Amino acid sequence: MAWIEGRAADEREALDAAARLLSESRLTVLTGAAADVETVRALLQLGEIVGGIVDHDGFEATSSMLSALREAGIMLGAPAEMRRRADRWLLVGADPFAGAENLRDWLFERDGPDLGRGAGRAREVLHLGGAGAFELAEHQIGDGLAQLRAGLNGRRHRDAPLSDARVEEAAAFLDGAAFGCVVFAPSAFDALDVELLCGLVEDLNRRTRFACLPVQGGAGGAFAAAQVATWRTGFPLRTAFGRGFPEFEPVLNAAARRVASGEATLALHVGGSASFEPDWSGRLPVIRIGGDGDWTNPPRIAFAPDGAPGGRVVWEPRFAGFVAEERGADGTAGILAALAERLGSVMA
Amino acid sequence: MSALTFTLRAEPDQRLDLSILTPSHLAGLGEAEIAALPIGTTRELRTVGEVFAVAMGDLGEIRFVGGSERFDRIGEGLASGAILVEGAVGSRVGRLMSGGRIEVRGHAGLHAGSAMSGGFLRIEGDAGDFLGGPLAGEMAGMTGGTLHVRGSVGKRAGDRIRRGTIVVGGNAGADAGSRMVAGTLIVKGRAGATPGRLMRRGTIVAGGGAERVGATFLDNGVHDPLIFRLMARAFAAGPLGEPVLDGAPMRRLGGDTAALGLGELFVPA
Amino acid sequence: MSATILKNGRVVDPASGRDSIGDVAVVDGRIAERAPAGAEVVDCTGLVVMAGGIDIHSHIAGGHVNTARLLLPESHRAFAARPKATALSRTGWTTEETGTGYARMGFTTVVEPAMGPSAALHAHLELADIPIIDKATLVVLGNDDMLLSMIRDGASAGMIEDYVAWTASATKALGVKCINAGGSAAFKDNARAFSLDDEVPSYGVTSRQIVKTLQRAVDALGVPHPLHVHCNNLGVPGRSVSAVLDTMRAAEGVPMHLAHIQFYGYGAAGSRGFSSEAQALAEMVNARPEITVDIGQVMFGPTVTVSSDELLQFAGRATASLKKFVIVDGDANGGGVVPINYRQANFHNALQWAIGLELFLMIEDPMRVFFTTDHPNGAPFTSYPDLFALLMSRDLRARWLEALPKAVREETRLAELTREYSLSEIATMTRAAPALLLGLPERGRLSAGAVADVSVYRPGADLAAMFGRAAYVFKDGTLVVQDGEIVARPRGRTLSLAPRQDKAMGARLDRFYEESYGLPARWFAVPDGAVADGEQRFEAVAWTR
Repeated sequence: MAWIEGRAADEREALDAAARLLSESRLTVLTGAAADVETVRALLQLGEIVGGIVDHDGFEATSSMLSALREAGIMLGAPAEMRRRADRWLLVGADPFAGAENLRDWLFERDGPDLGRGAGRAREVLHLGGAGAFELAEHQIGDGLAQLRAGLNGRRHRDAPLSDARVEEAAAFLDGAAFGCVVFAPSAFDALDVELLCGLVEDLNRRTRFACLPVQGGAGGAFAAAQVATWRTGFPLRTAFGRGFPEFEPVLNAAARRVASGEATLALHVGGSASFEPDWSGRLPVIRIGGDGDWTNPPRIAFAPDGAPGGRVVWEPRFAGFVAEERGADGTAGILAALAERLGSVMA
Repeated sequence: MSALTFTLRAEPDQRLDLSILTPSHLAGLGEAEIAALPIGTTRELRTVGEVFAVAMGDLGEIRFVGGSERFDRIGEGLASGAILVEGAVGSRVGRLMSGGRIEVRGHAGLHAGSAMSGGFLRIEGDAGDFLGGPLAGEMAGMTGGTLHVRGSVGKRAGDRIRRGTIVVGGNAGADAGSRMVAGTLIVKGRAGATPGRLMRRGTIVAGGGAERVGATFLDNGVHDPLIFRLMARAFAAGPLGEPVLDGAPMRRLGGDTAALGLGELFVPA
Repeated sequence: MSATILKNGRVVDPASGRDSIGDVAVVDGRIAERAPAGAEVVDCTGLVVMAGGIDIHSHIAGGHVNTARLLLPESHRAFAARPKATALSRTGWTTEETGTGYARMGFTTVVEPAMGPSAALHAHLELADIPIIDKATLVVLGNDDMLLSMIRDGASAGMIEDYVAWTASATKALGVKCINAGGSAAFKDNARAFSLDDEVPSYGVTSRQIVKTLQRAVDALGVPHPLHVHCNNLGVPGRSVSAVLDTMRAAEGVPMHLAHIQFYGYGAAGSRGFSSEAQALAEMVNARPEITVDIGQVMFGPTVTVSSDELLQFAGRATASLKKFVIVDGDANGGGVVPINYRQANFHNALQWAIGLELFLMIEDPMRVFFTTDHPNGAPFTSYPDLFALLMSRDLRARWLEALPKAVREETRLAELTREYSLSEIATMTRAAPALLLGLPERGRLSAGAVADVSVYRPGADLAAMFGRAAYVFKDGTLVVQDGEIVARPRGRTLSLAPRQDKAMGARLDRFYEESYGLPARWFAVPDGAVADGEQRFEAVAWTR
């Protein structure tokens, strides 16, 4: 199914019209909620052909972790390994498993680790920023982490928001882990918080073993898209192709920013199940592919692709990697590829 | 001889990469060649001549008449000479400059003076986030020179700087002086929350105090104002050409002990 | 039918004992005895014609490689005011640049040597995006709970073979590798050093037992490529050379490949506690015909180390060139990404460079020593042309040596090594030998019936220029490179062992992954159709040596 300015149209006609818009647009932003590998590949390919900017609705939610990774580094643990091996867990933030409750239930399915030197111990959890002895307001968590890191390294710190006794208690708890795991949701923190947390984990590894387990929650699609973009372009999205080579700018290349400034002349939005209407949808012509529900500002051209036969490859949080699903291809990649093919002849 | 002058014809329809308009890149080029240089960043090519009226002149002094928030990368890598912008600039003005002088008579965007190693950059208006700081993934911000913003600046001013001096006349956003390795950041106005997060060494002065100071900064007591009078004099005599501090006593906080902890943050006593 | 005849070139094809002026005919993607009338003629007068190059060990795809890209965005040209052409920035990072970069040098088959089973699909997704060249992977075993438990519990050889075969098939691998066998598992139990006869704490199984078990299984199964071994104690002066010598002795007459041995050629003698053990290593290799090695040459400049040797990468972070690194505690594996800058003026780095060349020159049989930089660990693959030139010219080596610290010139025997590789030896090391080592009889040669992957070089005084920009490259008979530029970018294939999975082992692994990890076993496999274009991407290789 396809629509041109709200009128039901033949898919081929809509593809022609969309290709025309794309070929005439000076700066197209390509964004949305692409989450499976084929769709992301097709979006990147189209972005390169039209010299546009490729972004993702979930970029911000994953950016603090990607930023800390590239500026300080990180020690990561695979969830399945943490599930078997970690005896002491530090949960950071009010709800590190928000939007990922299944992951939490699966990680904590058993009473404790069955692998490695912690095997047979009961699992123990310290929740920094959650209800209980280490409850902190959201804005205090960074301070709490800083106190903890200073305390672990024998450096002084003030006695608030955590009391000195609490800091000592937490440090002893962490140091006593056979294998410890620090869980946090990158979307809840800024890059400096995550960098601090990564430093804390590195420090803990001087004496025992520790790893971070970032929970992407609803941003899993963006993280998957960032991975694909990275192998294809060298950069994790927010990348411009206008000059024929990829240019990464994590702030200026936000689709919303380019629309707000009036630079973008067209937007192409692909929607997964998590799709929502961008607040800029009324400000420029939009080609919308897939996604649920009607928008307040109807797109210039819309496609509701028929589900394609076959499977798709998505990021799986329990696996911290790509897995193949036997079904679920939604046809978006096919529409994007058809556009790329049309533009290949128009713009060659 | 008068300055080589680029007069903006109209607000550009896209961000421009103006890094090519420095003396070292333009040396030996004639007017027609300069006018043909590509500066657009979208697939619709824009050349210098389409965006600017060019008046040839002394390469040692480059002048932009009219500015825009879309003027990116002005004076990038400048080694010598002077650049004057009569208007606003976009991101990365003076990035990686090692010498010379850039003056912006308007506001600046992100990453002004990013990783500059020498020279003097002055912004008459406000500046955006990451003043003097590194780009994504880079391990060092400013390593030398002087950066002066008369207005206010965004968050994380002076991020990861290793040497050099930044003076902000107005206020600073959150996390000023984040991850400083050394060097000096002076904010005459008020600093946002948690200045100096993860700083290892270096000096931050928040003349109007800070919204909130992190738990890993420790009070070292009120500091002798003599040092501030000396610093004020040094600024007046240096490239800044004006005193910065009023010599009032200040309270010294040492931190960030979550990192190395050898930095200092001064707030009013 | 498409046909091409490469006329009148110097055909250097050691696999068929040929080094003479002549023609090479290509018909429908294969080398033919003769070309039919009307075949397109490519005049190769004055040019050198070889089979397409094969790289047996280059980290080009997978989770850790992508993490390295995430870690180092600043290596891109867009970040610099006036881009400095470092080897790393020239290499680029993308799948596209990997394929085109190799093709320009006349390499047509490249093996990614470190694919963890849990990252197999990721690796194959990336490989599918690398254009032009053919690819293959080695699957990593030896730190996985399943194998270590089986060894501890005394599982039968047949059971272990079934497990190895199932994993290699499921992950669409061409061979099997072990990386610091047991080392990552030991590090997870907080061991900070680990040697061949050390036990993995929670299993009571030694690294030696793991290596021997895998070697036997790979041999018994008839995997064409012998077990590919990354030894313990990589880079540790003194202990590294013991590790590699002990491991070679442990081969006991059964084929074994030892990876990037340059990183093990380190003694602890001298005032700096760092010395060359290249001679001892070379003598051992020369004396043991069951051993093959690749070098992992270091070349100067900034690069990044990407390795599944988690324990050593964690230790190596102390000498990182940038204060950032990523360490991963994976399931059944681990790994790390650490930036490094090999500096010519640095005694340690310069001696590493010299040790690699000593090994190349002292190991006598070019059929048993392979050309690698362990890309990007020793240097990015774009430094290959310079390295070829160094191997072929003692004068060039002498000039490089002069630029090194005096203490290095005193420590290395490089100046007295007069050997210069011939073109035929280069072709042996990069064509004939890898094809044999990997079990790819239709590659690495120009005899009739072979895959028509052909590279043509223009000889000249500048050997690096000759190898850096091939005059012509044909992939499956299609012209893909001309004068060093890409003229076509067909999709290559991924070479993998033919499926061979025991049903009972499949059922057992279903239970194991479900009960131990709470994950379906199929996630550790690359299902048909999951990679773009599905099966046509893969080419099956027989399980026969």
